[in-house]
Amino acid sequence: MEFRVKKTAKVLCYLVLILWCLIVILSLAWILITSFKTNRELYQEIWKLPSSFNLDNYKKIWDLYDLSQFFLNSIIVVPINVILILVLAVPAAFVLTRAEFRFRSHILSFFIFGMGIPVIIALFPMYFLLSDIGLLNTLSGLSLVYIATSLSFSIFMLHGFFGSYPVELDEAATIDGCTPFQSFIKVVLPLSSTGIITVTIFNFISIWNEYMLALIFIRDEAKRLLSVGIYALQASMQYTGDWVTLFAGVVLALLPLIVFFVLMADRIMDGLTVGAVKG
Amino acid sequence: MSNSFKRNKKLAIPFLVPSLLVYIIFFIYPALSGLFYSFFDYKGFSRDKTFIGISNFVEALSDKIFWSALVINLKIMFFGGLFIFLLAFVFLIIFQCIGHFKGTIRALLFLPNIISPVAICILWGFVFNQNFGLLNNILTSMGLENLIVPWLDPEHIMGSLIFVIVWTYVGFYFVILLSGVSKIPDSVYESAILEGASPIQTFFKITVPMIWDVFTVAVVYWLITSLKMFELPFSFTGFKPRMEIWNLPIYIYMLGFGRNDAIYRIGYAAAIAVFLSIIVMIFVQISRKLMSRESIEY
Repeated sequence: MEFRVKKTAKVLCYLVLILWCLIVILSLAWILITSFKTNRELYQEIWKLPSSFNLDNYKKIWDLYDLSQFFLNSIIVVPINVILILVLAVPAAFVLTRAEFRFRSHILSFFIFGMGIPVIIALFPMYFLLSDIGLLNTLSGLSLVYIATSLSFSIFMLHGFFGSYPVELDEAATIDGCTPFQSFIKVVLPLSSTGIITVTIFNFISIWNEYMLALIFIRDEAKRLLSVGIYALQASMQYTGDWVTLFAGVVLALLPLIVFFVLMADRIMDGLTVGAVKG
Repeated sequence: MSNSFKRNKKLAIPFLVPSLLVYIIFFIYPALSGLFYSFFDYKGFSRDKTFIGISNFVEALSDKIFWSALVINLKIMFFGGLFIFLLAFVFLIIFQCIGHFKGTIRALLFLPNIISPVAICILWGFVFNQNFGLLNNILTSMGLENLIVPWLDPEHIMGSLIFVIVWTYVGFYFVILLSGVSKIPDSVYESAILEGASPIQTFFKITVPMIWDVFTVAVVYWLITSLKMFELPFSFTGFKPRMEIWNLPIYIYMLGFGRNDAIYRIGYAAAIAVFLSIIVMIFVQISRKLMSRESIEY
């Protein structure tokens, strides 16, 4: 939908939106540019381009600060988490939306209720639970916590998607002789791809950026995730003052998300559309 | 209820049990234990704890830091929400007046939501920096030296933090609200335009009433997000959050894990976490009551 307004008004509308977008682009560009500077250049000409684009900061962060290890940890652990969340949440959301059984709505509310619980209340018991079952300081223990705390939001979103297509589709599949499980695999999953992709992206972003739980449950430096690595690097800045290296780290942490986002932006937006309206 | 829904009943147990188990064992059970801890004097060195009834809760009520942290929570929720939704609605109106680059603009508005909070804080830390920050540079070059203030000093830091929060989240809520607008049939707008309604009029007479349910979802989601917000304020002042911006999640974290003096007051921290959970639930209920009305069919 587009309104017909006066030309000056239209120009003004564009100006406001472009200005806001420009601030977003420039801030990211500034992080990128600074990551190629030396510390001296940063302090002398903080808003100028560097004299030469050298990759020293990246080399340093990759080798000296072990970011390669953290990056590897994140790039393995986060996708596994995201997939496991889907494996659990998609079937659960499906039966909670498109099946009829006792306590269905209660179980749905029970899951959605979790969105209102601040994870921090469960922090200390989680710590002891993981230590009791020998999973403290392991990435699998951390993953279990991530998965458990992501289920509420994922099921809430997927519930919206599963509710948004007509009942007749299940019935058509039934008439074709599919068992309920077959129709789930053959009819429901393909139809819900937008929803599944949206939930995937949301979980990916939030787990990739999460660092409070990762900071507390992982003590070994070799098992650190990238988010904690960046946070620790920021913490060490007060001693080293080596800001440009930190910026190189920030760029590396942002890169996968930006690539992901550029490829998927439209799907994220469209996914949000269906989910939010139904939710 | 349709037949296929009854047939799907067979799937209920195998489809639900795995996620229920993980959810209960690794989230609900720890959350309930947290509630349980709040009635104990529990230092966290060993597993010894003494039952002290509601003493932790009573102590919190006379704890100055608790109250100031609660005020910070409420400021972020109220002012952050106010500006986020005001801006999101303004963007919504002007977005309807443009014809080109809609997809790109929408994506760029959303972009800050994918940036890690640590990166956002580092970036804005440099913008707000008193000595060489961008903001003060710009103000100087525009001849507005009298507007220069130390943006990260105690008296201004809340404003700066809320600005950064608004900058980060406005795109997300804009996209949510826009999703509601995209469900309104064009014909509704067309007849309004034929009758000579301006974009502002149609906004208040058509858009807002028709996206009210989406708006409600967005507000509830903001309340939950803002009251639980940890990462952004935590890294806003660098490695250790300064007291002026401790909200309840940060205070709980500091009580339990974040102190140098090794006094880990887990029972007390749990009591404050219980207060926080109650506050979240109260606000969610209030907002749902206030905003509930007949939804409009179209």
